[in-house]
Amino acid sequence: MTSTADHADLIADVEGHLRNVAKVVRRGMLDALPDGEPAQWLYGPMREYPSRPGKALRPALCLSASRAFGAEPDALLGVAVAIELLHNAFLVHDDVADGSEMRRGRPTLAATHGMAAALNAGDGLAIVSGQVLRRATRGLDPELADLVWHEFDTMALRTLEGQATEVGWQLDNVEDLKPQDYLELIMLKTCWYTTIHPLRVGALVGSGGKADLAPLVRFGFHFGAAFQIRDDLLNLVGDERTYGKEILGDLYEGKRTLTLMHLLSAAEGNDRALLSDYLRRGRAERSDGMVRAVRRLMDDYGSIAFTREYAEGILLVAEEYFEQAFVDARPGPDLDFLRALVPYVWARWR
Amino acid sequence: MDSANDGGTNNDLPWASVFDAGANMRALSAIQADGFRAASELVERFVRMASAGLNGTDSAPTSAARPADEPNADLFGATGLEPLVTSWWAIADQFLRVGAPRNEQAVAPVVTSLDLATAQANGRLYLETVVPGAATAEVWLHNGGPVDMGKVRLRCSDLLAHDGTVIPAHTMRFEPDIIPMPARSSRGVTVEVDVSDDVPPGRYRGTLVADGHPDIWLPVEVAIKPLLP
Repeated sequence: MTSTADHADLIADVEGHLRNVAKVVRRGMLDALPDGEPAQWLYGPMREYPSRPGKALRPALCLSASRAFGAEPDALLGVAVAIELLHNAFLVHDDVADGSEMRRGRPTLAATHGMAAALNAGDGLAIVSGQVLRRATRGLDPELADLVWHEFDTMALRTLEGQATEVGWQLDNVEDLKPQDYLELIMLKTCWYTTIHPLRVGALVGSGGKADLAPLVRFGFHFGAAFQIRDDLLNLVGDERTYGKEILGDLYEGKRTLTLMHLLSAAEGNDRALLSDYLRRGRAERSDGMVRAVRRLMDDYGSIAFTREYAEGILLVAEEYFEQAFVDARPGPDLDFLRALVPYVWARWR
Repeated sequence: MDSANDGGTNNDLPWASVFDAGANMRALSAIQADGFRAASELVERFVRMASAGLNGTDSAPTSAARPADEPNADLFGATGLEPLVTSWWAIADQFLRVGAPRNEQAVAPVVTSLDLATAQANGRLYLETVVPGAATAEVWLHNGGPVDMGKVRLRCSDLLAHDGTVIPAHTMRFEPDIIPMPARSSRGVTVEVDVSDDVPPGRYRGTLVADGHPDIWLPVEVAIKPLLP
């Protein structure tokens, strides 16, 4: 039986580990970024997001998976830094595409430096990520290095496919979406690069190419999807101070979240008309009152409750998939950390 | 850090509602089952894509590392609910402290199966979905004997609700639809039913039989739930 005190310990352990990884990886990112001119409009903005406190979930997954499959403690630090740099590049461009105003508790790069400088900074981060990865894979067996690059190429394409799908839904004003469509979207745009890719690369290099990577897709998706849906819910029910991004920002953007998809399928009559009108508008044309009205409908139609339950169904089997994925891994603190992630999401659930 | 607590109305700790009896009651609802199934089907598609690789380069290490005697081998590739029910409950027990009445139909420990060699049937086929939607379940065919049973085809009757509403037999699909059953073999068959939005919620019952094996049959129940409770 798991006590509340155990859960408090578990949360403290996971978050403590993530903080330690974040510190090391942040230093690695900042060391890798060039420091010359033009500082004000390129190298300065490039350092912005990597300097801000992030969760460091991706590098933590990569490092722990690598060690659990046999790598030396810091053997994959370069790979982990490359993953986090690319993540930061995605974030910069994502904020431009979404017109977001806040990131990690502070204004977005586009808000402070303008769209052009933000795009350049995002491109710069992606290029430096490639430099770091090239250095990191230089010492590997050439075939293994090729597999690692292949994993990065696949991950980057998956992410772009997901971003493009989502943009298309908004531009085409697609309304007949189902929960399965949402899962496919987050598989592409979130889970592959957040959980599946870091785990696969870590296991691949740690095991010298011997680990079975397929079960990591199962564990990575079930864990990552639940993590993402929880994040989407926080945007609807959390508060800005703890969340770090603007609350209801997804609604302002008309982002097709699982909750919105449920509401689209459930709303009737005037509510449905209100929703369709809302989604047809651009972000600037959506008033605070409209956003609050749509948010109320989500309560009225049980969309928030539906989202929680649907995601619970996904998370419930993640632990089983974990055991399958790490059956050949060696016991130790890294395996313990990875094993604690599902209970961690559970403990943070409702 | 983030908190998933939506205002913490009656809980001092953000995770305390995990132990909430109301949450426990909702465990293993139709919506959760839908989430699980949809995720599993999607994941298997991406597992196959990743195994093939963009240029096939990663197929060698991934397949070479699969231990032949992997104890959970049957689970790989499975998209139905049945194989994971046990672990599902273990997790639910651990994190949700489920003491509430369970849905016995969904958690029956008996693996639904037809044994062709001994002419025995075990369990019942239970499918559950919300409208509109698709429900899947799994039935296992066993041939423990030394004789090749040839190819076996499963059939299902129309499904009937208490008020006379019928889900016609042709909406039930079997994957694979023809099952070769050589000596000493077991095969899992996915049973799928599509439920259109004009089917009223309710419980529909019918019978599953195996062509050429007149002595074995299984009861079938499809529970159709409204999208919103």
